[in-house]
Amino acid sequence: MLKAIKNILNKDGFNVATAQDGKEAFELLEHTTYDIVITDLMLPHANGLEVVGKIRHDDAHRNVGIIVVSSVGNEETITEAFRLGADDYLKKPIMAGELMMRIRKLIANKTSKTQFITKKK
Amino acid sequence: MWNDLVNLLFLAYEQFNLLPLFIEIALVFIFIAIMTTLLSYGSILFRRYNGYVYNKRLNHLSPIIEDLITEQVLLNEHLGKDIPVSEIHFDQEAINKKIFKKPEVRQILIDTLIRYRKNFRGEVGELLRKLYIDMDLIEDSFTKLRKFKWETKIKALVELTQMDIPISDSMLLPLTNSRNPTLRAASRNAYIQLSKNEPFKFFDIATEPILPWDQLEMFKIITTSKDITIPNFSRWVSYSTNKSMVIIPSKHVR
Repeated sequence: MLKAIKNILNKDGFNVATAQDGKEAFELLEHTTYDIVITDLMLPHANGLEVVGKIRHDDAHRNVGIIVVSSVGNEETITEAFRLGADDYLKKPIMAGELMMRIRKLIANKTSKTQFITKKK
Repeated sequence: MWNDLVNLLFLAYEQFNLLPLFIEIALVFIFIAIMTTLLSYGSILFRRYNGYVYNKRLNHLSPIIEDLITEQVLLNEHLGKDIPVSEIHFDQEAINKKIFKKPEVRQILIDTLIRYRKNFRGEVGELLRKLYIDMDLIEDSFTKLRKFKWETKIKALVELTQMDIPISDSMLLPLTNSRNPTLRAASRNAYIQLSKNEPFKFFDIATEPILPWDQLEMFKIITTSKDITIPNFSRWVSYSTNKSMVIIPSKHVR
């Protein structure tokens, strides 16, 4: 799944860094700021919800867009993901086109929000 | 040398006969225990070795298979251009490579395609299905379905269901009434998922009960499957002589 999503995003011109688990994701986030983080919920070492929570509590990554992609589809988990700060939630099996659209929309929203804040200042 | 060995065994047998009965019984039990332990360890070692060989093969083949799926499906240039999936053609040279003719490679390929299908739907999901059909992997699954071993049949059922390949009633219906509970449950679940018009037709011929765990699995499939045709359950409530066939529709009605 990781490699598949990476290939799809690369095809559309995105630069992608991948992490096998939550711990590796945190290590990557320590050194770089990303526009979007796409995470599953079932991850070794730190699960997806922990990843979402930790990113949102970190000032350096507060504006990163987070999309959760998971086969978990129960209401409590989805609500919890949004409560912790996820911007979007896709239930597997996903449509590649839909994922791309949501990523683009999220990036566009973040950009317009940043521009709005800059203008306001 | 053989004579010495036969003599030794004969001597041991003579000595064994001279021992008191309870010692003889104890020795027999010790012998059985040692043999069972050795056989168990042998079996574990054999399985571990097989697992090791499989993993080694998997590590070697996975990148090749993933590259094929990436090139032919994920990065297919016709995707997202409003071309019907049925009209998209794969690179024949790539899908007909000699390596993809080997049975063990084809099995890994099927497993990988299923894993991808669990993650992707829409055009990508349909194209994965087309790759499965175009590479004749569908025939591999049907061959497995005709095998005698029930585990192999279940594997085939899972593959065909995941790939949304219709199975003829003459092949699937008898399995829904199999005496093996695991095969029976798997084929009933496959029938519900694959039959678009009458997903509960097997209720008509069912003489074997639906076990509680299978009922749970069935509920899960019914509630998560899209476009499932819910039949008029009253016909089984009124006429079936099979108790579980009456209980299940009653629960569904509720």
